[in-house]
Amino acid sequence: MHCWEWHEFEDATDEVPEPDEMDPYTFGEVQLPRVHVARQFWAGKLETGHRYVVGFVKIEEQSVLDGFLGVTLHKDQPLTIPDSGAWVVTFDLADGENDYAHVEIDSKAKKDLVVEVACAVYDHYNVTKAGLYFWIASREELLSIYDTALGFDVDRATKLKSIPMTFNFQRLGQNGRGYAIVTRYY
Amino acid sequence: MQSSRDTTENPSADKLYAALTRKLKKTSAKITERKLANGEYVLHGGKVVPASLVEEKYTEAFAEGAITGQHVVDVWKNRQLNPMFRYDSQIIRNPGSVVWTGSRKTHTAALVEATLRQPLHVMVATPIRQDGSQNMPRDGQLFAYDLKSKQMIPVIKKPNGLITRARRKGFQTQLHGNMVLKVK
Repeated sequence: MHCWEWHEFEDATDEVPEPDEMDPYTFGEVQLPRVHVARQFWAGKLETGHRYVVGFVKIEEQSVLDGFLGVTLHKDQPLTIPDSGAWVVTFDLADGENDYAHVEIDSKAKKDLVVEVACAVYDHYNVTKAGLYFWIASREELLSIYDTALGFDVDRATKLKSIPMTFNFQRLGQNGRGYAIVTRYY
Repeated sequence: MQSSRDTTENPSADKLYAALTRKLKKTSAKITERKLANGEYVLHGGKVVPASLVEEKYTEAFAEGAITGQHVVDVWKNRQLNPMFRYDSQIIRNPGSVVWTGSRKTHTAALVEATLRQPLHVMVATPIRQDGSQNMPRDGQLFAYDLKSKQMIPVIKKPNGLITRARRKGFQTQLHGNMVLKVK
């Protein structure tokens, strides 16, 4: 449907879904391939930086959305999976460097990381015109970064490339680590 | 200090997030393997890095005189650098004549340029017929709108630099209802 290569995304959608017994949402059920795209990028200087990968997986199940964000109201209605598409955003170190454990990065790398993830979301939105993006912060220290990136920190202005006309949500879900961006195509 | 993920709260969301992250890592490994194979990534200092970053580093160092042409040749011989440095047998004999043929653009700028470098197919919205000619307009051909005839008339540049409109003398044609009016 979309030419992902044009927009510097790798289309990683499996034609035949690989069973993942650890995934409670596909084990034992009829598996449909989840649309999955990803992009790698470098954050930081050549000597001290790291490669990261940011991925987008299209979610069709309301239960997944509820599991991530809990019951979240938007315009007095619970958030649901829109027809325009709902995508969960994930990012991590690109390879097994440091066994995927957390690595300390300098300020330039942090800035590059945030900028690149924001650009990836923006570019993905330009391709898909999706209605909803959501994710959870994997660590507590990422909460303040996401709060700032989505404009919730009034003391720190951000110059990130951002999707226009969105409703942003912070600290959602049972553990308060869920985030969501509702676009105008919701 | 390394921190481990807190998976004690909301296990279903964390479990699913872990599944998605595993999928992402598999995808990432494939991307890395492909880009190493096609030269977009290279090994530098034991790490897999974008080749463009290494090229930038050597470009700046070479420009500043921090490294010599021989150094560049040695690096290229060790396949640590994409062949942006033109080198042949002459340069091997005279390393000082290494010529940088690559771009100083950053990786992002090069990608933007490559993305925008698409052939533009200029299509004329309406067929333009001049004097009953069946010739289609050429790419880049200039036209000017003539109020009298209400037609688009090709603009012809003469060798002496003058620009004229290629309106046939003695005739004006109107395309409305296929009526052709001859004006003497």
